[in-house]
Amino acid sequence: MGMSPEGIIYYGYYFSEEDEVDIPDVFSIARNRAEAKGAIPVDYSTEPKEWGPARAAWREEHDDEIQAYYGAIRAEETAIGVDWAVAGSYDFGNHYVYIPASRITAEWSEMQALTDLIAEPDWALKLDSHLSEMGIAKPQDGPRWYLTSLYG
Amino acid sequence: MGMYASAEVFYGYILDEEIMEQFVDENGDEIEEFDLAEKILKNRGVVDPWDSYPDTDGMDYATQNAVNKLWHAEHTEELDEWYKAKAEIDRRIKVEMSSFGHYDESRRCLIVKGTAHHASPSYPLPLDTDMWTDPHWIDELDSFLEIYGIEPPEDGPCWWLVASYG
Repeated sequence: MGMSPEGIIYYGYYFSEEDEVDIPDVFSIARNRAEAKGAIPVDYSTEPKEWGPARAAWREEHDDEIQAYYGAIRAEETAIGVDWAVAGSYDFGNHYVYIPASRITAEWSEMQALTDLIAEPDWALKLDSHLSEMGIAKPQDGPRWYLTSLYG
Repeated sequence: MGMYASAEVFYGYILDEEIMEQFVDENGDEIEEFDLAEKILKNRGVVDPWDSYPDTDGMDYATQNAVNKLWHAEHTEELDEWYKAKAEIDRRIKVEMSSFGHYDESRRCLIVKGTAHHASPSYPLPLDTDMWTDPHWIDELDSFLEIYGIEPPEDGPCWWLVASYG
């Protein structure tokens, strides 16, 4: 897959190299919460290993349980309300935590027209609550809008 | 020198190929370097003193040097007036041509001076949330294009987010 530069705007906090942080895996956190609330993991043991008609048929047959399980995880992700990403490059990047709805991107062949950047009233609380829950100190006094880039 | 991706926001127009093809000089050749002050002076009928610079192709270095020194000595006053007039106009020009993307495949844009903000990967740039615009910016951008005889894009200028690699 080709690499390309990406311009990114987000609302959140950024972490530099000096901020030694164990980056949370929001998907795993959401999955654990969903399962604790009764979401049943999909049993893939009978799924055909090779991509093809048999696998597609298996997925169609198990669509209800797949949708239910991953839907429950997505609901928990939404409730958490934040996500983590890397800026710079995947090999030598710095992480940031952000509000998914705030993220605006433009790859080098695209341009994004911008309007006013307006943060929802609960965004700061979502970010701060998540960091507090994860035991991570806020790297800046408060979240704000940032411009950054990624080559990946 | 290392290469990296950078992000930029600016206010202006992104100029597509169709518009860029309209930037031609008096000989019908594509313009690659944009000097608006020079264009304005020429539109006013002011003669560029460099038009009289002699052709030194084929001369050896010593002769070229001698011709160059003589020509400068004979045109000092014209050159001073030319650059003074250009500087005066430049001070009042609020827009500039720029580009983004990759040097092998870049896109041109016409931007309001002072509105471009860059962020490199290691240093995210805090952004003002109010994408404020001066109502005169549109006139400044459109005037630039009109001087080159080009109709402004229909959509109008706005704030843009773009990415570059270099």
